[in-house]
Amino acid sequence: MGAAAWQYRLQRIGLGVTRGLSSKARARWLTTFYGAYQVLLGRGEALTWGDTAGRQKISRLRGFYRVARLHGQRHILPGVWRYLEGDAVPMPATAARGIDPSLFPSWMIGDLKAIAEVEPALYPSPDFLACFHRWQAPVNSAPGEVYAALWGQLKTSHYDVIVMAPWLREGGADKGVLQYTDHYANTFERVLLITTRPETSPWVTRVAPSVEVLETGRVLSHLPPEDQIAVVLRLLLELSPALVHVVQSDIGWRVISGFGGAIRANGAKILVSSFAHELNGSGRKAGYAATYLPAAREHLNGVLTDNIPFAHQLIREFALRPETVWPVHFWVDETSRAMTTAPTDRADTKHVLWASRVCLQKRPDLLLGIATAMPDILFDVYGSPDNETATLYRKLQRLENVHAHGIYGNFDEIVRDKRFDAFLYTTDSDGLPNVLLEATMAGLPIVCPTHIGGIRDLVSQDTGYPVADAGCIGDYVTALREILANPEEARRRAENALAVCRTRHTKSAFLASMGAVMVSVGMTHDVPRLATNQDRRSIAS
Amino acid sequence: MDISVVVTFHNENLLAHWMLNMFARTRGHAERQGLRVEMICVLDSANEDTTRIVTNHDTLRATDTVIPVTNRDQAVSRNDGIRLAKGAYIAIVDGDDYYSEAWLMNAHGRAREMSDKAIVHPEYIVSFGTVHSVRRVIDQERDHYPLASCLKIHPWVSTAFAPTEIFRDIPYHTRNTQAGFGYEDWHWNLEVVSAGYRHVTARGTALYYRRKAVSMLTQDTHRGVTIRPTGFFRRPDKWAKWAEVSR
Repeated sequence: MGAAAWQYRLQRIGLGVTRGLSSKARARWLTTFYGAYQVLLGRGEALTWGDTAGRQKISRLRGFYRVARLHGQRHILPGVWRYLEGDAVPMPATAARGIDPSLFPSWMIGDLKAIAEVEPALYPSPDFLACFHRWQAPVNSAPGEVYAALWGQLKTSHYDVIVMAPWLREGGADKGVLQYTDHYANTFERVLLITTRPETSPWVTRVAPSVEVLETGRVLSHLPPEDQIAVVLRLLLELSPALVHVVQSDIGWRVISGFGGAIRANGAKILVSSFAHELNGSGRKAGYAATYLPAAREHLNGVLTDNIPFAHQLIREFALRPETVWPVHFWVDETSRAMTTAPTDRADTKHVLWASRVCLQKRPDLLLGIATAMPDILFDVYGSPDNETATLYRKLQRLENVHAHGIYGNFDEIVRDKRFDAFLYTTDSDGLPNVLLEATMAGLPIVCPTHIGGIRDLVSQDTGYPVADAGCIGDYVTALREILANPEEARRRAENALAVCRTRHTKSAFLASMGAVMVSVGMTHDVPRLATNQDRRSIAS
Repeated sequence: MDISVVVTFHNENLLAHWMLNMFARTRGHAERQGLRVEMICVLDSANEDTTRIVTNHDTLRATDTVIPVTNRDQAVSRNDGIRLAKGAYIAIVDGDDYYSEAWLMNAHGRAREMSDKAIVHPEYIVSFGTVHSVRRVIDQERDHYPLASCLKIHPWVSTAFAPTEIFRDIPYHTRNTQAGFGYEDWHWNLEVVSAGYRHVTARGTALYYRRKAVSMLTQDTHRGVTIRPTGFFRRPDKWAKWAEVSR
């Protein structure tokens, strides 16, 4: 590749356009380039040779240069340097030797001599003048251009409510986003949903027609993280919403954590939804609450969860005021096929249903172990694997008693024509998964771990088959055998769970809860508190 | 009165003394060209030493004004000074920086040349102290600077010279860093752009800008504050037009 092409690509990276680069090359150059780029263009502070921070930054720049040298493109470095230059970047020591006469016109020397009459340290001696370097206002248009492009897509310059979500696709949390936006659409005139991940959002079609959707993920993904925040923050400030509600949007959380004070001072109330802790590879708590709540909590008007246990946990772990934490249970369609798939006393082969995203969090390894331990039972598995679980999924497919059906559209389609004896749910961390509500509405007895997240909000010894040790295959097998051995008891527990759903996970209960939240945060939307008064008392105590 | 110089002081101590000494040179230069110049010194919660130095300074005249305020806010203090201005033009300066001898004179000339439709800044910023640099300030009549950059970058400077009515029509907004808002100069400079004014520079002039290890700018950066909402960001469709170089 010629020098011009190399420089072109580098500049395109800087501008956020990486088309034409292989993913490997892109990753390599992004790492080196953005390190330098962010330091140079993203900060108002100056670099100096003397302090530690300055030396570290310059060390990173040298790393950038080393990469350039390795690629045999050293001769174009001055051009790249000029491109990067803009902040108060000292020229390399060799370049700073001597006085650049174009820096100091004669009248400026005259000024400095006069100033030195009162402050002698500013006398324009050669040594003093040699300390200076030329600086120019940096040009970093990319975030502003992205902002302008996004602004141009909006129909108005003010919204009552802005909901921020990563995307809208098949998933429980996405159904929650739809329920939130539906509520806001019915309550407020101008509602904007901002999606922030670069992936597609097929469920955008399900958003209420009056809700505007601004998909920012693709254009934002070309910017460094700091610039992404600048763009989203500016949108939130200039659109001056009365309410900002962040639901699982990483950028949304970062903006709230860093600049929630400004958003509040601009007149907005801030709500976040958090459903459970996630666990990282080493089992440490991760996810939005663990990462961002410590910094964001002071700016929040309220935290919404979809289950009571996690609400308690948040209050306990982050010293949140109980009256600001709201368990708002999502609703399930009350007309769904309740009990039509209730377990039977059939003597033929028993069927266990497992349906979820096939990702590591959902423990497909446990499913594999359980299915292996129960060769006489047929396992119908719905959901498609991701990159990390592809191998596990293939192992599942090879088991004779596993029918791997792949991705599914909605739960009703699964249970419409088939009868299952139990619903098995495995997971590492969760809120109150929507699929458990759907399984309950379908009349299925549920086997799942209940000390994780908010699952015990629904599943107990009276409403299902809790598994004490979430990682113990034997416990799942025992619970499933118990269902198959005593279908009458299984039916009783499933009916109890159904009663909970029909009381608490209804649309009217959801609307009542949201209405109470609106009143609490000072939005003038007075809805009588209904079904969740008991929950509120539980939280308050 | 032709020019009112609004200068804010806080805890500059000796630097206030040096600044006023030097500004006498700038004022004298303008007055020798026939311009009448008043000084309005706003002591914002200033310490005793700074108050004593400014109040008793030899270069201040009976027609000049010294007002103590307790705003602890640069923007509000500037507005206080602006309210008292009797000049047709106002120059906003800081109490610990230095200015070219020709600053007021050339800025006045450039403002007149622009038919009073511009904010005039010094042509150069010579930073000294923790940073040593020479920066040429963007002149929208000569330099094309993409205004999209203003989302992240402030290309101008607080030192400003313009007709008094501009400062009164478009006052500075309070900083309120507790609430997350700062960079009042950045905000004001964008506000005037969205009001239809241009940013230009006075040839042959410089601001000699004392860069401190801890300044309001670095504090703002580290506190995670941002600039207030402004009409500038609500009209990105105008950015290209506002950035047009007329010659």
